[in-house]
Amino acid sequence: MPLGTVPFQAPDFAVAELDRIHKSLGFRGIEIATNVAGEDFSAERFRKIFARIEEFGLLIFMHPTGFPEARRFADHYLVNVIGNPLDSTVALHHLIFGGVLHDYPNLKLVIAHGGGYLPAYSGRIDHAAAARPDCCEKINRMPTTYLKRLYFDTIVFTHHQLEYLVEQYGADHVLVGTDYPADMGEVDPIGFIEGARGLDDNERRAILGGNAARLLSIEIPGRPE
Amino acid sequence: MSRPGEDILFKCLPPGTEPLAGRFPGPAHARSKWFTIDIHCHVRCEKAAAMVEGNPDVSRWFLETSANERSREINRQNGVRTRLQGSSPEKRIDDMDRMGIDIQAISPAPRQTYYGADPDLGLEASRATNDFIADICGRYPDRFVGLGTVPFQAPELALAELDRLHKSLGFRGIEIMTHVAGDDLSADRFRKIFARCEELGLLVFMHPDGFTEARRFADHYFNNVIGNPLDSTVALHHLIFGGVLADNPNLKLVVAHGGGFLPAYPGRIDHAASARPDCCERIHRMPSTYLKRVYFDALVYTHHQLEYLVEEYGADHILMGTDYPADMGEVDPIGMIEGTPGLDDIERRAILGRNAARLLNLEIPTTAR
Repeated sequence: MPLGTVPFQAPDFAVAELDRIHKSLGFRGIEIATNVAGEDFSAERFRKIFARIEEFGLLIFMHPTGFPEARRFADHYLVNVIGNPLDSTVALHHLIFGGVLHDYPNLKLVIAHGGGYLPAYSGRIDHAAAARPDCCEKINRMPTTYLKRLYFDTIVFTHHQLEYLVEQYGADHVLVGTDYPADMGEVDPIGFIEGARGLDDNERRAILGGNAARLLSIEIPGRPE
Repeated sequence: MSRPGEDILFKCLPPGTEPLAGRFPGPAHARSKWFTIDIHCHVRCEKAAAMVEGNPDVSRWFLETSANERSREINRQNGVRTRLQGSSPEKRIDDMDRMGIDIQAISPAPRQTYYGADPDLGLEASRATNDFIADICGRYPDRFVGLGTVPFQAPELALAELDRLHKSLGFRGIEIMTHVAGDDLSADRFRKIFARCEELGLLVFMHPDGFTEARRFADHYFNNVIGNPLDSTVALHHLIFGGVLADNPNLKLVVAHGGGFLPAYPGRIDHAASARPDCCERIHRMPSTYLKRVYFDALVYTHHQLEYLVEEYGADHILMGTDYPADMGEVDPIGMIEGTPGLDDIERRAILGRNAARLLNLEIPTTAR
């Protein structure tokens, strides 16, 4: 099941390629990075791309490639260990506070690595919006309202964080992922989800495939009894 | 699980009304119900500020200079609104009495650590700030304990000031930043400072000042909203992977804002250390082993994240903190911890005061419940 890519840096070309992958190639979604050559997704010029994606009902899978200003991340592979969840975190803040998720409420946005840091540390954004006018210029609901519309993959490596994500966002908002074939990947996704004691089998089924099938409009094959 | 006054956006308030979020003092609580110590609260020393006046490289507050003009204006207004709270111990005690806080472990306003100063100025400003804190603690010994500051940028001078603040001023700990003018805390030259802190049994309260690379954090107050937990996150990774916590196993490190992002997202560091040799050159245990030795304040705003931290790190590793008098602070710390359904009263007591008393070597008054 393909997820394509479009040249975000050239929004008109991106919209044309979106039309092609959707109509000619039959793709159900695209992958996007967490910034566009250093520019954040909340920039006005990207709005038309998000509008078209929402209109087509395409899934967006958002994946980072580290944080651009990585001076302090040279050692210990911190470019990936911190940089990847961080850049998703920064992108999510811009999508929320910049009003993109407010303007396109039906976007089906799936964020890699459990959504980065924000879903596990969500109280700060609401406090800021309640305490400071400069934090809520482009939104009219609590920031976590928008966060709760999003979907996250399961690459968080611990059962307790997976269970926390399910508790806070619902089992219908969490999708299994592996990062195949990268070394920061989860090589035993089924074992990982089977072994999370806080989940029941309905939740496991949703996370392992049901949710992705729903978001990608895939029919789930019937199973012999 | 929103709390009163925190479920509406600032912009939705009627004109002229002040929000309840981040405005000290918060709701009233009786002082007798719990024994309470606030581990995260700041004082401002005018004398030290005057020493760096006119030297923007030293005096600048990165959170301020990295923000857009509107955020700077709001910060200026906040500065005026909270000036007395930052500098007057009497005003502070009034607020503590109302909020039910028995003792504050007062630390410098983060910007006043002045790690960017030349060594001599750094030492002079540190001494002024420490003397100011010592004076407050001396006047109200039942209500305040001091967390001082040392000039990390000049390790030998830092050691001397550590000795002075411990032996002459009677401080129980220090505040440190999450980097030293851009250098990470794992640099070899800082090792002797951590070793001495460990030897003296001092509590180390680590507090950020935004993230150093803040180009994308100018709007929406992001260099505080993201930058503060982020810089603590980066510092913790360097302290863990750089071997500082391995070399100083008895260091009593308390990290602000629930420790930043890492304690809520700890699986990635262990996976990396199992998957890649470049991640574990300076350590010989799983990275989360070191993380579990660290203490975190309770400033995470949601009951569910507080419960998660308690479950993963233990109620004996979480300390109540307010960030008084800042607008990102928790103005109702007792209500927050009382209202967390997953805690029992023994855990609440530990978080509200007993953990801090243990780490600061404070005797708990016999009258305390």
